[in-house]
Amino acid sequence: MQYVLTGLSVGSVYAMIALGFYVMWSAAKAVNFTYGDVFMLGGVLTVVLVEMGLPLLLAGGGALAIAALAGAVIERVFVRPFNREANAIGWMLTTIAVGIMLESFTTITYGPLGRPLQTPFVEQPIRIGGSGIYPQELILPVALVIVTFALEGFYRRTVLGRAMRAVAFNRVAAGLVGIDADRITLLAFALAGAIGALAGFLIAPVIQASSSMGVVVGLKGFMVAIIAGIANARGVVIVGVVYGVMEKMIEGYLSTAARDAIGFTIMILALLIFPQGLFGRREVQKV
Amino acid sequence: MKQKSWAGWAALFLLAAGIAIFPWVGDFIGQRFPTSYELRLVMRAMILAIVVIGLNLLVGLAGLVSLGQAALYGLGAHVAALLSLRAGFSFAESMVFAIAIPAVMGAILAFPTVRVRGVYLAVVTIAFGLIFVNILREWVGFTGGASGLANLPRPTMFGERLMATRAQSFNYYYLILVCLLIAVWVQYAIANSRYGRAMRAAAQSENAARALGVNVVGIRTLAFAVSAGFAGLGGGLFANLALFVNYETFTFTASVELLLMVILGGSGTMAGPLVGTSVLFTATQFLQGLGQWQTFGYGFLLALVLFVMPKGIVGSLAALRARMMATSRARETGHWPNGEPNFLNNQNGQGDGTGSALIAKGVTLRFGGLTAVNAVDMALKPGTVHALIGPNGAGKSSLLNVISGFYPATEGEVTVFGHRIKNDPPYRLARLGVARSFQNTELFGQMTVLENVLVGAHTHFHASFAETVLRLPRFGREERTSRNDALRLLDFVGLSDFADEEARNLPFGHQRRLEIARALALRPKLLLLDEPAAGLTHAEIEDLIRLIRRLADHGMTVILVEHHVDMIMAVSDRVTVLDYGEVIAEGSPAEIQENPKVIEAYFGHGAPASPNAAQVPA
Repeated sequence: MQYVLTGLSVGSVYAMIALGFYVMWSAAKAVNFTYGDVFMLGGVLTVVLVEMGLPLLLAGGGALAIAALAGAVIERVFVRPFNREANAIGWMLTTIAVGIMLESFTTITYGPLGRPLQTPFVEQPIRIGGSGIYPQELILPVALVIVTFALEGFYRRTVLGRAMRAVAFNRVAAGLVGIDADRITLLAFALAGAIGALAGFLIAPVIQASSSMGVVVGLKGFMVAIIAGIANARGVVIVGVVYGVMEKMIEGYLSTAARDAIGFTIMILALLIFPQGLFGRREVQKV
Repeated sequence: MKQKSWAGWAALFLLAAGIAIFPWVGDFIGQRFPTSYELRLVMRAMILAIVVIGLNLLVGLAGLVSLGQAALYGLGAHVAALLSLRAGFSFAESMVFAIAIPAVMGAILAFPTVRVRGVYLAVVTIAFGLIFVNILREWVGFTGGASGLANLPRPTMFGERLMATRAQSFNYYYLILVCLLIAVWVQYAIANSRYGRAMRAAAQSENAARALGVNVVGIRTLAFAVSAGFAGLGGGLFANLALFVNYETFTFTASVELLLMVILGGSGTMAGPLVGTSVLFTATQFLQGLGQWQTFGYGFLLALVLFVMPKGIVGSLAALRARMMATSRARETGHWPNGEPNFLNNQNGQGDGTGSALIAKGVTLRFGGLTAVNAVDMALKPGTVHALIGPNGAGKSSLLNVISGFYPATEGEVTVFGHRIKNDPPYRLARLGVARSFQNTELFGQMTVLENVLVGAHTHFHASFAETVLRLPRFGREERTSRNDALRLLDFVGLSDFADEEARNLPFGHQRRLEIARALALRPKLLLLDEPAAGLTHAEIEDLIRLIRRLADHGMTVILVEHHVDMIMAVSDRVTVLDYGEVIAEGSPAEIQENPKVIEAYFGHGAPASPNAAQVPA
């Protein structure tokens, strides 16, 4: 029970990161490779803003806005110019470069150690059926559900969301009906930045915000997105949560040290069996 | 071309000679130089260069990115260290495993990931790197954890102790130099062979590569395995040099550093890894002690190089040189078809004179609810030209994609020269003698015209990987024959003068010609042409008609998807008309022209039933 509960909260983070990857991939067929660092920004910036005296929610909102802006800037400067040809790999390298800079710069200015973020929800663990958990950890799955439905609603009901789907489906055709595909892609990256930062903001009180909190989480989020079949939002969420729970199970019944080794191995095996992802449909390539 | 490679070898010779006399410099100038510390630095740079050469094969040729290369390097180091420390293996024995185990690991990581998208490999290699460091750190009993594996026995070979000291001998130094030269050679040998060409082809147009018989997953897996093998070799040499290993040398940052060396030097160039490694390694010696700023510097430098000179140092210099040497000599376009395609004669489908080249029975293709091709029956006699026509969206290209293996048929079966295809991938069909062109030309843009045609001949090479790397006679024979055939093909389509031009620089009409020449290099028995006349001028279409006729006269079977009615009338023996995925008419061109159903399909009800009207659709 304990494992399921904490797994749910960790899994929600993976799922949100994976959703961010899904949003970026749909729009650009490229992603911010070091998206984990945007997630990290969400946590770290909140701490910094709170320390500067801002109230918690305002600080969180500020961090979200900055991260969204960072997402947009990364798309405009580091992804778009390097994603012009099919099969381009330039964007991979440039976004990795940005990630390295972001992370090491944070380490230098903010310090290598994590700092706590106080919220009313981490003062007292509550007990559910004999297992203790911070209310903050329970917020995460709730937030995930809200984000997932909000995203779905956004994609289906708003003009902008529909435009994003159109761009995802066929960039050229979307351009022909008057959609500015470049602008849509920019907004998609900003949206992904906000989602990532939200996850960082929500998990920071539980794990302490540090400059290195993003790398592994970002990687796992990407793996989750790939395993789910990167073009399926619901699949991404399900796999993320399941992976989180599985990870906690491994931690609980085997060892913490073996967690990532076993987790990644399982993911690689899953990819071997389902090359298109668990929920991915075989892509029909236009020949 | 010849001259350039000569200069390259001369430069390499000078470099090798320079490294070779470096330990003795002190004797000439009468000082204690180089010290053993400086010697170690040179040896470490050489080892890194070996690893970087491996990574260059992956990034520069196969267009894939590995961000766990340092972990494979570390795997080699740990295999060598553990085997000599725990199992008492000799130096040579442990080195074999230090190369083989990372290579196998590379294949295991690559195979599941490169099937879908190359990007996945980058993700999986990062994961591998993290796990690797994680295991080394946690599994203290086996790997020593943070204190690592120390006190490795000094390596010996043929009873000689391998070392690099002034007092005794420099033999380990020279062993590393030899390994580096071997690495340079292997890189050159792979790049200039069908393997290297196939890697580049798969990176530049996956579909075209598959259609020409390249097993894309196989060639990418090979690329990563070789690259990992180089990393392992470097690792083994490193472990036996330092006589101490722990995980700190092989982190993610180290992987980025290796990648940076490739990009900085110029990915895909032969000299790039050597230049990139030297420059960055030297720079690093000055930047040490900067801690996190050093990591930041790597990120900054990587971004800077990508923005300012994405081709790297060597690539940029080569481009500059090419611009200065450009004589803008006018190239002459030959007329085509030029001569008879006698040289294409193999068993051109004449084998079973009575049989059909292609039989389709009830072929159906559905995408979700949409039926693109519906219960199509077709039979083609060998040596005929068969046209597939129909209004837009009638399913012509879809049918072509089923025949060439790009889409598996939902129902029904296709038999090509007696071989029933069910789920055969395109590359296997190519090996049966099915070649195709693409509606939107899919050339390998950054390869030369000649190289494009040579990729077409991929399936006719039989020299194994070992034969290729060692340049054994069979490799040379095949390479010469294919080159001659390719030149004759270029002559046949009138592009001889463009042989060393990059394909993307060709004008559109020439690109079409090249695509046909490339398909012919496969020496196909069945040639599928998807709208080959689209975008060609009137005169070019006349030439194309003669070319297709000439191929058919030599026994080749041709399926032609076209809108151009004049061309179809002039060139085809039989015509099949598709509408909404179904065959609505089949017959000789003249019969089709009179067929009211065909006229209706194009013009709807009540169209004038005159034969002339059918000539308008385009």
